[in-house]
Amino acid sequence: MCANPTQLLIPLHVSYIQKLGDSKDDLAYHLSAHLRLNAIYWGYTALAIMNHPDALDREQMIDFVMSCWDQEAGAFGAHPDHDAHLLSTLSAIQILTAQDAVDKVDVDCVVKFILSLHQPSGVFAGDQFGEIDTRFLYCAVSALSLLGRLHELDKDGKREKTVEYILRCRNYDGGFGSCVGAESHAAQVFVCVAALAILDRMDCVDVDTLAFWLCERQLPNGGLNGRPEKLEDVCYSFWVLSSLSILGKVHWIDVDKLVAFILSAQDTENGGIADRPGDMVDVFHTLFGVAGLSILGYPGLVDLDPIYCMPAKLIEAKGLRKSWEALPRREA
Amino acid sequence: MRSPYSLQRKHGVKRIRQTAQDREAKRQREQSRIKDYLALTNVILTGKKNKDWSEDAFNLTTRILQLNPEFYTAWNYRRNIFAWINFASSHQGILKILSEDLSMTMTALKAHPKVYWIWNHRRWCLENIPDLSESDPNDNTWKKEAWDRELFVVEKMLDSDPRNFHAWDYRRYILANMPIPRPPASELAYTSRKIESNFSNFSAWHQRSKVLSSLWESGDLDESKSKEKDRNIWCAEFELIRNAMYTDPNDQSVWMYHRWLVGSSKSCLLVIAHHLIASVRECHCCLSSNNFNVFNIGCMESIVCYKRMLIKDHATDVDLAMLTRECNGMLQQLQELDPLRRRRYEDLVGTLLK
Amino acid sequence: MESSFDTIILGTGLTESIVAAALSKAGYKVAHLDTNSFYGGNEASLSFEELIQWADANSSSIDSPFSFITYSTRVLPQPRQYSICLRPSIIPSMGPLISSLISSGVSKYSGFRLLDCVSVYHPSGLVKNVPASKEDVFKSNEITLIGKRRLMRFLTFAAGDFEIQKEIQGKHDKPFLEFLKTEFSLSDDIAGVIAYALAYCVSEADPTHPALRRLHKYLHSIGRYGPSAFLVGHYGGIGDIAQGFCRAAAVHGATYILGRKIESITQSEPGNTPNSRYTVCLVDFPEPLKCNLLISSPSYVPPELANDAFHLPSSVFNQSSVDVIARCTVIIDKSISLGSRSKDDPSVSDEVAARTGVDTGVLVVPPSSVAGGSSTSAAIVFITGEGSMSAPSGKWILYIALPVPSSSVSPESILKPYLDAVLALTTDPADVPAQPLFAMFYLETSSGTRSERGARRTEASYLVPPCLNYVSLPDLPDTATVHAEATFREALKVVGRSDDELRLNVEFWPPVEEAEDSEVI
Repeated sequence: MCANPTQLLIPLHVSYIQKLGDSKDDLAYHLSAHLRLNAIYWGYTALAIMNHPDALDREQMIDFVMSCWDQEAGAFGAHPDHDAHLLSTLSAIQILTAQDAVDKVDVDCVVKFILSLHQPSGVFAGDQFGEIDTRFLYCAVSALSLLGRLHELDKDGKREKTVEYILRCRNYDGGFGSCVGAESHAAQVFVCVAALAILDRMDCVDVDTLAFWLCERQLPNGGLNGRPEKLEDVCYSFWVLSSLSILGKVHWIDVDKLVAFILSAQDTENGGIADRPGDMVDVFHTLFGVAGLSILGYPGLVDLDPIYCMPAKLIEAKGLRKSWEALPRREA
Repeated sequence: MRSPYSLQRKHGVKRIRQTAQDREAKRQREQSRIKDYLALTNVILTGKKNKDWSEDAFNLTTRILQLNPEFYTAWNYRRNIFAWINFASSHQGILKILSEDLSMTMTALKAHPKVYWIWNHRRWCLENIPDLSESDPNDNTWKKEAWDRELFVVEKMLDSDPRNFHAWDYRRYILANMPIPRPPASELAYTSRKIESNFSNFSAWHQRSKVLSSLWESGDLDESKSKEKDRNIWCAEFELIRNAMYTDPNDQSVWMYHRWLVGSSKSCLLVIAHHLIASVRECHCCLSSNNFNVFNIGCMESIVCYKRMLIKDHATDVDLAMLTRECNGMLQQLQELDPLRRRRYEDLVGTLLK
Repeated sequence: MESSFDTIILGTGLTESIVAAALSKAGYKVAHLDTNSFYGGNEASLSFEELIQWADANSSSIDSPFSFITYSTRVLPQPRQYSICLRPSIIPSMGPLISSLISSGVSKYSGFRLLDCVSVYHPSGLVKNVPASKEDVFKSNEITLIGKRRLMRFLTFAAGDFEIQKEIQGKHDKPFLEFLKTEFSLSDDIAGVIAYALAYCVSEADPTHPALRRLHKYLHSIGRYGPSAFLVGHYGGIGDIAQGFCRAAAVHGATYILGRKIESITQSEPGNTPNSRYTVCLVDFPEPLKCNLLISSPSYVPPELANDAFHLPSSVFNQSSVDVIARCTVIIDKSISLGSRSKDDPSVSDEVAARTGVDTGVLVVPPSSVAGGSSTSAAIVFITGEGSMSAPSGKWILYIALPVPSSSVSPESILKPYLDAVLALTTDPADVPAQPLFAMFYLETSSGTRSERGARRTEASYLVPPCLNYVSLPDLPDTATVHAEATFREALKVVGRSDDELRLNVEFWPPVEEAEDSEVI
């Protein structure tokens, strides 16, 4: 195993993702059924960013997504017969959008499901059991936007309420938490900032303060952490970078060091990217490592839209492109 | 005898090289467990489809959730069954089931302290505690005790991981919803203890800022005499953070909190600015004279930040040219000292010149 | 009974017990003998009755490192509920012993608790907390702001890669106290606390480099299992741990024979019969035991084989200049306050907490801080109670150790001022000093460095692990472990299987068989 890879091992990662569905002999595979749909979105998007959008079988993918439809709730669960939830519903919409197969879904029904989860405070619940989190708010806003139904929020002041809730989650450090009062966390910063971007309310963000907080996330080894005095983790490459990219400040971090850190977390034998060097890889960190590299202008990758975490071309084609800046794509 | 301090610690899941033989051996070992797990999943999902609200079904969800606490559909099913039992059951019966669920989720949290679904189920349990006991309509003891116990539980969780944001969020939720609210002073004391036991615990500093903010509410400390007490607290906080600054100027929590404290009283920034900058500078100089960490990045960054605030908000009251010159000088130095963020300092120099 | 072994190990001190476990786990046939009826040798943990028997037996022994043993009474209620250690010790949370406990699986045979506090005795009669971590420095209200910065600067230096820093270059042998004052501008008070209570220096002459190495290790131990750097073993600590290693050896097939005197040890040239180089005959034991490799603690070496025995050199960094230690072991029924804070109960103010006693703690008494005490050496007081399963409820064992210049002093008279000072720290509201229920005094004499003595063969077949001489309170267990591993490696040169080409690379502890994940399916 070569100790410190200096290249993104695309063919290895492609085959790693292709083989994910073959791990039915692993108990861990079955224990993560509740994340299956999300995992397919992560895997597919990573492939698309690595310019292998056809590496997974399109029909199979669509069939699986449709098999996760929860008729009773009118939205998607993470796995056939699992309950509908905003987390899996967004993944389903993302996959279907990418495959140009949204017509298979009863969009009205999904929109109704999403709107039903809007709370008087402005936040969204994840499902009928009422857990609230700015993550779900992002899922709702992003999904509505992808479905071309964002205007549904204009009724009854839902849009203003939603923005208000996000702003109530803002802390003095410029960052955002999971709910009112919560500590700023890079992943919650992404969902809040991206939601504000989709809602065209970036004027509410204190760019200077937030971008400072975000670039303070970089540690001497190049990796990014999610909160002060915590360990680095590859997934923050995306949460922090996407936010910085929406703020137009990606250059505030040391690009070369971060690229080297992400590359060092690759499994050079079996493919995939881990949270940090030497750890077990998973598809979640594989996507967010690749996504981070794309924002950093890593050669040979496809542009990623940091707001939707989908290929930029696709979002542009749908007319959904908002303002963001990634680093220019470098030559190999 | 069992060791109260288990010497084995859990580490991040390290990548291990597996030979084909290892993999085959693991496959063999896991085959029957997979079979059993899938069978159990199947029974539960079928039961759910068939609207089986029986106690047996309830017990099956217990089993599968012990194996996989992230199986959210099973938690949902469990709650649905509970709703059915609820119709038929007395308050005592409901309390019994809920307290069993609370202890079940406690066990689950010890093993999986960062699983959203478990924390979520706990909230659901608490919210479903019936208001009144049947025998004595004024008796809310059980409910009160349950919420008090939650505070204890969450403190245990924060003892084992003082940065667990699930636990902190849950703590805020408990404090906001307890039938008998606790005075903010006791929460302030709690954050002191957490900080004293783990200085770099920014989560505790954050909580402290929230508690103080709610104490001060208006956010402006020097409007009237009645605010004098608040101002005293505010000054004491400055002493605390100064102490922290000298203890470890390399800790980000220190500078973050310092900045919050300054921001919490914007209108008096000018009055205190010089004192503030002097105090930060003193710490900074003390570092340099010791020839240790000759320049501290956090110190310099903060000085620049406060000077920029003065330039921006008090342009008419300060010597703009001098402040700009000073900021510029420090930003030049910071570019050398903190190359990771060099481009940011360059950008700041650019904005100063405008 | 089988009487042929790869190795016979004489003595069940901590070092020998670890060797026995390692060799057994590596698959060698081991017989482990002790002439005592208890495990642990000089590191044993004894019940009260055993302690009295030990004292009586040792008064008449010339071989023992322990001498001048006196004690106040042979009667004490609940005598079996005590586990009294002959050489009390605390264990750094990082280091060779903890690693060995974990990787050998022996940790599951033992219980541990975290040390409550380390405090330092001030000439004023007050006890002060020792600031060992950032948090301690932060919350201290006795240190000035500049003092905090300087102290933190030093602690960061000591916890970091200090060997390459310019501060230490050329100053390895400089007295540590002086080093702290000149290189880090620390005040006398703080420098004293660091040298004696953080780095466990014995005197102001202690050199800088070894002190920094110790301190480095302790600083890294903080936080592994809690705020203290140190663990205390249940049931008397290292004595029980030695027994745990013996148990692990037994589980892997070692044979144990305790309480038999050795009649003779004879050597013959190795012939065709395997394992026949040494023959050990025991009193009242039918069959002679044979082996190819003999390992014994120094006190077991028979005069006739003195030239045959290879004494392994002791590890350089754990050498100590201390030759004689005065020790006392006292049992009291009033708790002692070491000024520690009650961590569990937030509502208790510091003042109240200071009045509540400590269960298991260390008090360091720097030179010249007790009237009538030593002006050159620091004494270490170690208190342990019910919480470490070493004493019945409401009783505490109090150990004091003080390096003394020669073995001609009376341990009782030299330790008396220390004992009085500690007893005055009772939490009794009426300030009545505790009265000891029992007190024992003795001297412990270090053996000289014997590494020069004995035959040095390419394959020594009689190994004597280095003497476990006095080292700082937390260093004894790790020193024993380092010695044990060296002995283990040396042993492999003799008994290592010929088919095992890589025999010298055999791991000290083979991987513990992994238990299947506990699943309830």
